[in-house]
This record gives sequence, structure tokens and C-alpha cells, in this order.
Amino acid sequence: MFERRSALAGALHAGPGGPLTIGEVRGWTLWQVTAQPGAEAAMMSSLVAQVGALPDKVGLATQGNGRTLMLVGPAQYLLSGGPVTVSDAEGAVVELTHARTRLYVEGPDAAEVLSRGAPLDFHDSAFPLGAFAQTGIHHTPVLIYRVGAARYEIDALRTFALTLWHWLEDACLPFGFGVK
Amino acid sequence: MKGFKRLPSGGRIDRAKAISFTLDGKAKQGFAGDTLASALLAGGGGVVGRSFKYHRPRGVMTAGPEEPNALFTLGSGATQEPNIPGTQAELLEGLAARTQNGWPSVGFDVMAINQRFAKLLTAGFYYKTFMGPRKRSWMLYEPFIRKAAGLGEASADPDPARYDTRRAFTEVLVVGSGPAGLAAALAAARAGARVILAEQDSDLGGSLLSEPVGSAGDAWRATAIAELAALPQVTLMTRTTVQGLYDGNTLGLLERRDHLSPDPAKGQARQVFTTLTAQRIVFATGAIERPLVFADNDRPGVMLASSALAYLQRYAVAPSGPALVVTNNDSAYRTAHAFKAAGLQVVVADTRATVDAALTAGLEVETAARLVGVSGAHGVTAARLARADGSFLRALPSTLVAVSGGWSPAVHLTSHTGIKPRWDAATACFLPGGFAATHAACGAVMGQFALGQAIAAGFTAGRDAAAALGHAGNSGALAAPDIQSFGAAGEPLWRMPNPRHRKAFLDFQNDVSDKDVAQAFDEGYRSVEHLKRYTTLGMGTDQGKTSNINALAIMAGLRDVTIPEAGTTTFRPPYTPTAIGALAGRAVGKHFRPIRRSPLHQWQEANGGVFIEAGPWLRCWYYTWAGDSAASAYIKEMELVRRNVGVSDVSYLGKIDVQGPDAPEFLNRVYVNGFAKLPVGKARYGVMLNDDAVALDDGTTTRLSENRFFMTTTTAQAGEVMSWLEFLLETAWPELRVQVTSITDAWGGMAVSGPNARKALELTFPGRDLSSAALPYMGVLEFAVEGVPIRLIRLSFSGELAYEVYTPADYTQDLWEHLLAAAAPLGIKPYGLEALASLRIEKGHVAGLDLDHRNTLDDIGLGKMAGKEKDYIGRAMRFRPKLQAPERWSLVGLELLDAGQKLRGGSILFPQGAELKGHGHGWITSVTWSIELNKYIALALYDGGLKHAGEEIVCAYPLLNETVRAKVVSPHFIDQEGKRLHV
Repeated sequence: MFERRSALAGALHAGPGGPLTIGEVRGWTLWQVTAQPGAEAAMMSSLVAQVGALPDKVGLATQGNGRTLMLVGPAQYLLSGGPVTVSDAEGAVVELTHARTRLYVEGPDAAEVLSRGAPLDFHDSAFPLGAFAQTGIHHTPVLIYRVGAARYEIDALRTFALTLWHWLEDACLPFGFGVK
Repeated sequence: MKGFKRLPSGGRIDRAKAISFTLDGKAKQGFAGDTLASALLAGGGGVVGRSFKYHRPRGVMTAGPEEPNALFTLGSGATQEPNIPGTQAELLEGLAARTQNGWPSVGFDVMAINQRFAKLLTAGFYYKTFMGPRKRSWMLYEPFIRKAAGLGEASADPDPARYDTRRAFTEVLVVGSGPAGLAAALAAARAGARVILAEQDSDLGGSLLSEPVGSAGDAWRATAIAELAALPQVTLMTRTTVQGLYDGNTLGLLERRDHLSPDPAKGQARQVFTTLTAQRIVFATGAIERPLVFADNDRPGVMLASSALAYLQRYAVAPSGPALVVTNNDSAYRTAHAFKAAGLQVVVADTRATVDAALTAGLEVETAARLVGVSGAHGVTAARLARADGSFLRALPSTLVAVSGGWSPAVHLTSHTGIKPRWDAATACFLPGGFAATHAACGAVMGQFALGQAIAAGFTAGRDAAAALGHAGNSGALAAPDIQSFGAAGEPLWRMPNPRHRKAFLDFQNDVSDKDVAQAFDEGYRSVEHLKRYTTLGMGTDQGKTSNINALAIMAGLRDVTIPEAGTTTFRPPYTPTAIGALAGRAVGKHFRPIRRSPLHQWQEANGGVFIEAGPWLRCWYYTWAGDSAASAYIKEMELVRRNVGVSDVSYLGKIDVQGPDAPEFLNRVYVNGFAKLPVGKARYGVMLNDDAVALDDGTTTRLSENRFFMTTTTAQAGEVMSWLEFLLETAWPELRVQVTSITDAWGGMAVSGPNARKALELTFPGRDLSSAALPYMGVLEFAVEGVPIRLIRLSFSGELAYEVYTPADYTQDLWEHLLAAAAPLGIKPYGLEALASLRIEKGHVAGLDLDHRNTLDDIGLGKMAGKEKDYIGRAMRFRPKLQAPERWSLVGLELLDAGQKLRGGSILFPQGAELKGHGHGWITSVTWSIELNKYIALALYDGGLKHAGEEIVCAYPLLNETVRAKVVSPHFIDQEGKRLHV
């Protein structure tokens, strides 16, 4: 009876073609893990035991045990790849898998396309491979993650995903793009 | 005779590429590399526009964006763009230009009659003449005056072109690519800094573009550009004007791309606006030459000396007869020597008694000379020189009078953040008044007019900027080109004797003459800010780039103060006119703002859903199965819910996960009613107040486990409630062990409502016990179907037996389809927002319309809900006497008394017999047709509230001049005992 249905179902039409590729990334999971006040150290050691080393700076991600951890705020992480167990006293875990739609843009002008919407410096010196940032595009909150030299993933709110997809198609138009 | 001609060789134009264009519909030709102005000059020049007020004939005066005369309307229809300087408009194939301000033509202009009445049209003319006889007379006159004034007109049609906006970041921004700017960019880039070099011209080089092609100066320019272009950390931006400097080293850059013939269908933007953040800024913005003030100085053929040079060297355009160069400084000798070298006849008239022989060598020069007039109405034919005492010196046939009154550094950007420029007596210029720590300037903008000086200062500024950012690379050295440098040393003399009292203009675009300044002085408008507004000096699209200093000098003279004492007006962005379309970028049409869609949106689109905008959401308003308009459909949908069962999308509700050991205590403080003892598995309706006791929001919160709650908010207030909760946790109670997370997007929801709601869910979830024992009113069940989590909460907005069913968003459509199919034997159908909102009015449930941030808990009739023994946000302020006054408005129901009439939302309420005046005694917040009562009913806020129950009142709707009678009743129109909820 149940099949996961993307917010972009039926909206990914072939592009005009060109050096850029855009599309949706499917099949991932996402949780938010936040320490309760006073329990930060306890929760972090519990995370270390399950995932490994933790990122020490907002905007950095670490990988371990098949999971990716992004530090998004004081003792607050976004976790993908699989859940973790944290006691109620230590912290709160909320699944956000269905709350986000993941788009990607890849190609030589990918950073320029993103700069048409996000107020971020995408230069290698400021946004190297593996960097991510929570920012906004077209008045909606997004998380941009640089996963390749010229590939970026954009986590959009599910309810805004289609509008953002239309924005992305339009932003890519002058550069030429395909949809995959 | 034509004043100008194209030379057979030379210039930076591409003679192999002829460009066809039209002026007022007449076919013309130029070459690639021309501007509209240079092409028109090459064709003879002459009159290219009529002046704003007096309709005097005007010709091209400059070669840059400061042009006050040669303004055109480009394009036609939807692409029509007025007031574009022909000096900045690159000549493009098919360009359609129109002259402005002349009717029937600029050559013969009927309104030139204004010249006869010039004495009437002086400063302040409009204010004095058109203010009477009645208060609003100006409104009557204004359209006619504007038409006669004849500024260019924009099109009212949507612009078909595409515009784009983008963000950029750099370490060093260099503004201007003249010798100083090129040197600064080279030094910074060689040291290793990321550099953006922005140039408003189509080509890099600034004043070096006026060196002959292939000369030493030109070669220096080409070498510098080639080196910059090869460096990966350098971005060269031509046709890009830095329009403004803002806080935080943020700048606005406008790039023009018309030369690429951008195709909007291919996404190519006509203009791109870049919001740039630069860690360091080097201003190499150069200087703008000043005209001289003399009799009839606006005649076509009078041109700035540096512009005459640019036309010669860049565009191979020269006067067809003798040229006269009139100057008070050294810089114009560059023009004179270039003319001589090009074989043109030229005489120099210098206001100074003595001039360095190195400058005058080989030239015919009159020293201590004054220019007292020119002949030729539609083009200069001769000029008259006099001595300082006014005695006649010489008359010269001239088709070009090239003037230089010195230079005004382009300090605009340096002043945008509030630093006033300072007067420098040595250079007789306003220079930048100071710099932020991360700013520097070099070249002519600093009064460094000599070439070597500008290059050296630029190089230092660029190297220092890079060093300050930690770039220690070796910048090497940069030698200036080996060419004659002229500088701009001179004397501060701008105004020539005018014995015949002819018009001598300061602001050419706005037709402000020296006499207008004198008149402003006489009438007491002596501050520069008053002078500007009284005479309109500097208020044209050129913003007085060529006029301000001359006017200031004259005003300072009249007031007998120095120029710095007279002061200067404030520089504000943008530096040159910027189209609103460029600022809007792609945020037009369907990209105007984002659209928020429920997980059921696509199903609704495909199944007869009709949408309505609700904030960012597109919400399903009604379904076409029930009717083809909202007005008919919602009643059928209401009947479905009251008599059978319907299902409605409630994914729009705000949803917040509240977790932690202190979550019960937190909710207990946030809601007016108690939540500390809410049992696991139960939901409760709650209201929260602001700390000023105004109702913020209402909704239900369900306790899923000991430490975990599921909160819902109204759609409209979801964001505000979320940030309110975060604010409280971060500032008021940081010790509470609670985390809140928005899960609005994570879960989709549907309300199943109606007497058959339980049956519908039993068909949907066969085998599950949904009896009142297993799932009582305000109870929750959590279970999984095929591994998919379902959250089933029994609560009701409609007043019927009802359930909210939540499931993760990606599964919501499948669950919805399954439910509709499983319960189809009952006749279940979907219902939309209009019915949802109407059902709750019958029930007397408040919603966003009634919670409008003006009402307290007591106003909406829920005062009894509040806990008496506990504290909660808003309690302290709730009992203020004004908020508890018996005559304060509160929630009532209204029933329409006159069949055939309508109640309308927003109607103002009056007691029977009261005068219908002012704000009345209340207003209607929500209206619906009641299918249970068969009449219009409403919720309203009324002074004194239900004290007036049973009274007849008047509902006035002034917009339609309509009044109807209504009766005050309880806001709970149906099932006041709540029997339907508990079946």
C-alpha cells in the first residue's frame, strides 16, 4: 500500500541539455540530535561510541560507522546514514527524513548557480569539499553540502521543494542543464 | 556645415563591422565599438536633444555616464527605456533610439517658445505659479506640466527581458580600471589576493583609452590587462558600475549585457545585479571634468576637453572645422596636442597669465584669456575671447569648443556610508574625506592627476590591501609608461565674464543657470541642500555630476564664504540610474515568491482541487465534485461532514516535536491551561498568550510518551510559535531540559470528520479497535501499517465526531488514496479549506481570523480555561483593568435577521439606532452560511460581548454602502453540549 513519494514526483522533466546536471537524491535518512542543557558531554560521548569522531566546528561534517554527522549548532547535529540511540536525559532525537527533499547541482558553473540564490562564498578557500552551510535560497531555508569538487547537494524543506526545483531549473537555464 | 566627422583611420572602432541603427526612425550607420553618441557625432553631430525646461538645442557634451544632454529613449514598446545617455549606450545592430523632449522634432521644437518666457521660468517657478488658487491646484496642473517638460517615458508593458541577481565575495575589490586601478589590481593579484576589478566602461583602461592605438600608453594598458586576465584569482568585470557602498563592505554592482544580445528564452540576462562583499576596497574611480560657465555654454559643439580627446582617439571622430580649447588647467593640453598631432586646427585659450612652456610648445596659445560667448544656435560656428577686464581679445571660427574647468574627483562611493568629502585647496577639488580601515583610494579620485603619480599610488594601495589580508606574495614593480603626463594643475576660475547677460548653464540636464543660483541666494535658499531643492540643481538622472562644483563655487562667492564652508550635498546610491528590474532580478512572474505545497498537492491538482493562496501556501479551497465555485461547493462539503463523513488535508498545520524531561513543565508555562498532568496517550486543546496577554495561538498538543509531545499550531502562526518557543528556551528558561523541533514538513495530516468518521477509519485500518473505549475523545493511538507509522488523534475542529490522521509526508498521499478507496462504500469525499473554516464557525471555534493579535483570552471567551493555581506566560498582564473592563469587546455569535441579505466579514457593528460613524462597537471576524440554521451566521467581537445577547444590532459595510440587521447570540451555534464529539 505504501510507497515513498517524492515532493518532486512528476516534476523532473528533461532539461535543455548542457554542462550542468541537476536532479533529486533519493534513498537517504536524516535525524536531528540535540543535547539537553547540562547533558552535552554525556550525549557527545554517547555519540562518539556509536559514530566515532565528532565535528568540532559548525559547518564541518564527519563520517563514521556508515553515518555522517554535521554540527549545525551548539551540541546539535544532523545525522544521516542511520539512527543513533540517545537517552531522554541526554538529548532529543527527531527524524527529519520526510521533512527534507534533497536536490543536487553538478557541473562547472554549479557554484555560480548557487550564488544566484544563496549569500555564501563558494570559493574553495571559503567552502571547500566537505563544507556545508545552512542558508536560504529564494526566501526558503536550505542546507547546502559540497559533496564533490563541482557537486553540491541542497536539502530543501519538503513543502518548498517544488518551488525550489523550479527556481533551480530557472537559475541553470543560462548555463544549460540536463536532469538526471 | 556639420560640426563633426569621422576620420578615415584610427580609433578603437572596428571599421569592418558596420552597425545599422535608427534615430527617430531614420536609418543611420556606425561601427562596432561606437557608442550611440560617437556614431551620431561621426554623422555630423549637432542637436541631439532639447533641454528640459527651455527646450534649448543641445549636443553631446561628454563621453561618459555623466552626460547631461544626449539622453535618448532606447527601444520601443515593452522594451522602451528612457533617459539613457548616448555616451554610455554601445552601438548595437538594430538599436532604435529616439530623441527626447522635442516636438515635433528636436530640430524644430514648438516648446522652444519657452525660451521667450525664460524670465518666468526661473527657480521655484512651479512652486510659485501653480500653488493656487485652491489647495489642490497642483494636482490639476502637474500632469500638463510633466507632459510639457517631456522627460522620456517608460513603458507600462511587462519587460520581456530577463534580469538576474547574484552574490559574490572577494578579498580585494578595485573600482575603476584607469591607470591607478590597473596598477592596484596588478599589485594585489600578484601578491596572491582574490581580486575583482570593476569597470563601468565597455573597455578597461580609463584615461589610457584616449591614448592612440598602438602607442606606448596603449601598450602599457594592453600588457597590464593581459597579465590580469591570465591570473586565475582575478575577475575582470567590464560594463559593470559599482552603484553603491553599504555597511559591512557590501556593494551593489550593475552589469549591462545588451552587447551580447541576450535571449530571455535561453535564460540570458540583460542586466545582472551583483551584491558583492569585499574584504578590502580600493577606489580608483577617477574624476569627472568640469565645464566652464560662460554665455550660451550649452550650444551643441561645446564639449568637455577630455571628451573631445576620447572621441578623437577612441572613435576617430573629430571636429570638421577649427577647434578651440579653453581651459583653466594643464589637463586640456593633452587634448590640444592630440588634435595637433592628428592634423587638426586647434587654438588654446588659457585663463592663466603664465603657462609652463613645456605644455604650450608647438601650440597656438592665448593666455589670460576669457571665453565670453559662442555663435551658432544649432552648432557652434565661432567663439569670442576677451581679456579678464572684458575687453575684446579675439574672435575665432570654431566648430568645437573644448572646455576644461578642472576636475571633480568621483568621490561618490567613498561618501556613501556617510563620510563627507573634504575640500582640497591645492587641487581645488573635493577629495574623499576619510576612509574606513578597509578602504583606500588612488589616482584622480585622490587628486593624483599625473600619470606616474596615479600608477604609483594605485600599486601601493593594491599591495597594501593584499598585505593586510595576509598575502605576502611579491608584487614586484610596475613602471609607468613613458609618455607625456599633463596633470591638472590650474587656477580655480570657472565663470567667464557675461556682459550681455546671456544664459550660462550649470546643470544642463535640469536647465539651471548661474542666474537661478543668484535668485536662490536672493530669496534665502543659501544652504547647498536648499539650493539643490529650490533650483533642482543636481536632481536630474545625472545627479549633477558635471554641475555641482560650479554651482557651489558661485553660491560660495555670493555668500562670501569659502567652498568648504558652503559645503556639498550628500552622495547617495545609486551612482548612476539603476532599473528596478535589475534589483528584482528573476523574482518576477511565477518566481516572484516561493510557493508552499502540502504533500497532497499533486493529488488535489489531479482530482478537482481548486487552490487559494494562504500565506506562502497554496491550500485546497474546495473540490469540484461539490460545485464549480467556492460559494456553492463549500455548502455541499459542509453537508457531507455534518451528515456523513469527509476528509480534509490538514498537513498545513504547524507541527512541533517537544521533547525532554522538562517538556510537561515547559508546556504548562507556555499554555494558559494545565499540561503538567496530561496523561500519556491524551491530547488537549491549549491557548498560548504573548507576554502582554494577547492571544498568540491555539492548537492541540498530544502526549506521546513520558517525555515527548506532539504540538500542532494554526497554519498562519506556525513560524511565530516555533520561534517564540525557541526564544523562551534560550532566554527565559535555559535550564529547562526541552528541545523543540519543527516537524511541519515531516508529517502529512488529514482530518476525517462526520458521524461516519469511525466507520471510515475502521474500513481504512481493518481489525483495529477504534471504539470509544480504545480511542476515546481526545485520545491518541500510534501504530504502524506495513511499517509506516500512523498517528491517530481523536479531536474535532468541525464539531462532529472527527479524527486527525498523521503519517510521514512521503506516505501521506498513499494513505489518503487508501482511505478514500476503503471508505468509498460510505460515500466519503474530500472537502476543502472553505468548508473546514465554515464548519468551525458553526461550532464556535476561533481561528486565525479571530486571533488577530489584538485579542486576549477573555476577549475570545476562553478566560475560564486558564489555570488558577499555576503561572503561565501572559498571566501577569492579563488582569490589567483595561483588558478586564466590562465594556471591552469579546466574542459573540451573530445571526442575520433579514433573509435575502448577507453578512460580510469586516463589517462594523453598531447598536440599534446609533449613528453609523467612526469605528463602531465591534466588527465581524468570520462569516458563513449555516447549513444547520439555514441562515448567515458570524463570529464577531462586540463591545460588552454576550451581555448584549438577544439584542438586535446593525452591521455596516461602508465599501458597498450596505447595512443589515443581526441578533447577538452565543458563538456556539450547534451542539453546545458537545454530544457529537463523544459518540
